[in-house]
Amino acid sequence: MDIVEKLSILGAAAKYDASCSSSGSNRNTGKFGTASLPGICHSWGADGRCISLLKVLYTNKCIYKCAYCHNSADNDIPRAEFTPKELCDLTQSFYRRNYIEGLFLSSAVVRSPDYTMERMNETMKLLRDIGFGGYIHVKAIPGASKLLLDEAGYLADRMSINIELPSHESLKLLAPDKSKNSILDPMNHISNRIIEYAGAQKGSGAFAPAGQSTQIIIGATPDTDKQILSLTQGLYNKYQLKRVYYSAYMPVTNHKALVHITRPPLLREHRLYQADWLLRFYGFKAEEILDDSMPMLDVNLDPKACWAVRHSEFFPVEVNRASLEVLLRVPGIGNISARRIIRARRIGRLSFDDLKKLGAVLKRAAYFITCNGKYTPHLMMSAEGMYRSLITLDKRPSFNNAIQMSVFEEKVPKTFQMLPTVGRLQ
Amino acid sequence: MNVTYVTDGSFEGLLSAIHTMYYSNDKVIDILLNHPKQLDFSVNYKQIQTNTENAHTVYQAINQKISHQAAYIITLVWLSELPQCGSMIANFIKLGFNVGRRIDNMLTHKDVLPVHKASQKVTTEKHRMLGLCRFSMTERNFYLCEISPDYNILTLIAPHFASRMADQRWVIVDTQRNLNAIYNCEKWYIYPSKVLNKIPYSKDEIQCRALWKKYFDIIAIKGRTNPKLQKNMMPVRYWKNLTEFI
Repeated sequence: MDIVEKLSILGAAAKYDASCSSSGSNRNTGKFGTASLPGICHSWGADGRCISLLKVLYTNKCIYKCAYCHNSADNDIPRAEFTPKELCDLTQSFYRRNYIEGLFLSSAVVRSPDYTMERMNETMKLLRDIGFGGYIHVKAIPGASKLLLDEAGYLADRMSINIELPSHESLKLLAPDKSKNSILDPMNHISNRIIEYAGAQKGSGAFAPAGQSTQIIIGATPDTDKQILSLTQGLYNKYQLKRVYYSAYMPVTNHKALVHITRPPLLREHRLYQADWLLRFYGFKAEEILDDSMPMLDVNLDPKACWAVRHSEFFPVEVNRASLEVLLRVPGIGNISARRIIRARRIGRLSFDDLKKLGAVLKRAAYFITCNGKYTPHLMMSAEGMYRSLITLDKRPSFNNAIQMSVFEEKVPKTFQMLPTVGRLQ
Repeated sequence: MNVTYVTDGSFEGLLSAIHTMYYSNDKVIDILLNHPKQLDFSVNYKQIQTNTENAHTVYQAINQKISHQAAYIITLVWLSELPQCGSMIANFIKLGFNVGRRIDNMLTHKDVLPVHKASQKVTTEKHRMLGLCRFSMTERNFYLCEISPDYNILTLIAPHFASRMADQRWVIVDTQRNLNAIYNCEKWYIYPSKVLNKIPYSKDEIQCRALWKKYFDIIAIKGRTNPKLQKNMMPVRYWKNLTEFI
């Protein structure tokens, strides 16, 4: 089998991994290859996802039979396996032409977890031995020995283990060979090592300096957004993960336990990412975004606006006085514009016009702010009216692959009806 | 008296004009970077002689009396090569000499906002180009990369590649501006270039390109095809230099 054929099989098999980030590491060997702290995207594929790392499997030969997975041992598909040398040469020749930012190395489990992890470590070692300072993201193989995980951590910039299914029940049903602990144990181990080494002195080497991430499949099982989001929050808090990725489920096998869908739930995935950003950059808690009265994210309106419409007691916010944490809660004001507002108001009071210049989206923010005590008629709308007008701003034509929504079918969810008008100004 | 300055089109020329403006009573309407093709009767033109020493004084004053950030932003705006960048920079510096480092926070001021916007555009393209440069191995054992960016970002990206590809010789050609960045494994230089004869690619190169194209095609998930998003992230005007589309 030649290298073109191997790349076709093992590249295609790796494409369902959502992670592509190359950020968080700052490496410079002075020879060949550097890691750039903010990360760099090198291209964008036909699906609009960025291509930053050469994302491949070491092999797709697998001993497991996970129902959701294309590489399941039951599937009759062409199988291939790289050698560490081949993979090292391929990475090098792509990197020298600036096609990629580094290597994303994952694998099916061939022979045993230890054997697979050994081969992956060997690949990384070959690269580092020729002085390669580029980014390496490596999958930890569940069940591999701690010693091998440690070795991988010294060689890679980022490590990840995919949770894939958001609940214990789903896991038992669809991935009988894996258990919750076989995933969480190594995750915990890696997390402890990262903390250990982050505190160590410079020069003593780093352990996965760009941290740890994971991935959850969305829509393959009946788990709710609330479950997924609180799981995410738990992972950020308990294991200090850098990222949790969501992957809209694409039917690749025909297992009877799987939910049958014709299109991937892209809009749901998008909303979950928005909620994930609220957790990481906007100071929200999962319990604030979703609760038992509202276990799923609204498809029509983004989670931040949803929260704002439901919390009239918090608004209006006076932009000339509010703190950063408060500004970040206003729909239409993001991290960049909030920081600009704080800088600019040191010079003088801000008007609505100034806000626009600073990059705030006024047509959203107008429902929630006052500016020097002034406000617009938007502020006095009922929650239901606000919801109706905000969703017209939030139509996303780029999701034409996702569930199509018709204007006439849209009903205002119960949670938004009968809420009081935004406070204090009635 | 209302005047319009005409400079020789260099950065030193612009700074000299600002020096003249500061020490004269001229009310400067505009600063032109090139001699205008058509003269206007109602305008007083004044040709500014470039004086490196004066330019240096002004640059130092910006660093000391305004801020380092302001000085950096001005160089970025200069690299944007926008037609109005002369007067934009002049107005910004004039305000800066009045208010000092407070200018860094005056984000909504009419003389500051356009400067920040322009510098942001340059920074964005610079970052984009760090990813979109494509090198090709030539027969003569060096890597060649052709780009045609909107702004003059060659000097901004060269240091990145000098440290990243430290052990390989490379040339980046800006085909819009006929500029070369050349790296010889020790230092990088910028040279004005003449149109080079096409240097044939090495044998490996052809195989490597085929592999990359193959990879580019298979990595996209069919059920998620979204050309609009792709073009949003990677505007079509850059595609002519990208290996995956050639």
